[in-house]
Amino acid sequence: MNAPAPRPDAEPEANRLPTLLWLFWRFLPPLDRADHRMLTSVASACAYLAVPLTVGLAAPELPAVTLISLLCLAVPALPPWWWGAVPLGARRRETALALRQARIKTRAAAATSVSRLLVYPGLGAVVGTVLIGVLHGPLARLLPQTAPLEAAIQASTVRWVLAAPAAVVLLVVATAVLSSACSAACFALVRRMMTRFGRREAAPQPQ
Amino acid sequence: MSLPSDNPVLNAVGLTYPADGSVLRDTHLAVGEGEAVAVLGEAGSGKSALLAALCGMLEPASGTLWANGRPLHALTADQRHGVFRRQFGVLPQDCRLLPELTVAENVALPLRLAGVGAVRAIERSRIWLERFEIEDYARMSAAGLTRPVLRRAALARALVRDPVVLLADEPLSDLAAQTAEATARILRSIAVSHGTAVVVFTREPMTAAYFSRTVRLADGRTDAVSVSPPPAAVPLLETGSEPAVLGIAPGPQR
Repeated sequence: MNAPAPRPDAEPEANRLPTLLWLFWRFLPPLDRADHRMLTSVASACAYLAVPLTVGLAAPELPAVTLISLLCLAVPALPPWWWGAVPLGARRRETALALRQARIKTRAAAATSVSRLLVYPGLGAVVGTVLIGVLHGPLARLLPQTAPLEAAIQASTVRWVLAAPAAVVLLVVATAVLSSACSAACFALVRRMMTRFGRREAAPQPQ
Repeated sequence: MSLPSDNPVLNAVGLTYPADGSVLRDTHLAVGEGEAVAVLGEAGSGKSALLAALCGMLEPASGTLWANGRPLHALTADQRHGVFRRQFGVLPQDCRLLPELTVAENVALPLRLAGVGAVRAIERSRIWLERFEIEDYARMSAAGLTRPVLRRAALARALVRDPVVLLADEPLSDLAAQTAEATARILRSIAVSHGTAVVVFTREPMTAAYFSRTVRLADGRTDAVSVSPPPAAVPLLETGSEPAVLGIAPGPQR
């Protein structure tokens, strides 16, 4: 069999970066109400979690009682954080698949599809760290000398400056982990168990 | 109607995957320029694996793959990806569009990634949307499209860069009979007018009947090669007249 003469390409290859950046930007706004709820949930959870995390990272020393206090402070934000991160990850994977179908390389597709996963938790975390950065002085004055957080919150300015970006990075990375397929499987399992537990509770009693 | 091409634009020889051949075994497929071929096989016969091997998503354990005169098996992964991106259009069975973009922007995306300006890319995407009779959806978001519209838009996206080879997995599966006929006619006419080698993977003999040649795939092996006449309901037009009848301009000289 004879191979046909190669035909030149229809279009030359070009720098794809401007288009990928344009896509990165286009993926940011929420599409519908569910999307809006999901993004708000992740951003606000990260803003809330940034407070104990930044305090923990800035603290010169972290005795057990302070650590437990910070963990207790963080607990209310954990369910909405996970609840928002799971669909965020599912959307990211769908976007990456659609990009690959448009003949974008796997790595470029993954990098382009993470826009929401970076921006929303990042934005929330920045708001949280700025708030605690600004308010830790007045808070320290309000707290009694015996309060477990008192020692942690009176860290030096340098420590606050270092802790703030570290907290933002940690929260973005943790959101990425929570949005993974493995985390989604765990979330589904927990939800199923909770539903089963709820049904048992609500089951009508025999007369 | 065409016999198996002896001057193929896409030529897979002895593809085996994995090494024990449990999915693909010594599979051959040759498709000539301007030929529209259906690969017919039951579920689990290896259609998806063959499609993945032909479009570079799966690396076969052995065998050779030639496209447009280039030995893809001898290229590095990056070079191969470049060839696939520039010269292949792929319609996966589970096709997806980006809901954040409009239908026209989705179709224009491969052009924009190739460096074509936004306005020109959208203009060209609209031509393809018109060909598939979904131009009314051009400005709509791709979210919430019905499957038939989504499939035709994905076909338009696969064709917008004027590929040398089009690989389509079940392209007519969600379409109503009349739309399926029209879409098959468009695919055949694109093969003729643009010289694109069209390969359609299907498990429906009815779908395969729309195309000029059927390659049967069973247990990962291409066996009988049959040349089927086109169905009476969808007469194949003469090479010269078909693009004009469908309003399709001849493809650019490549």
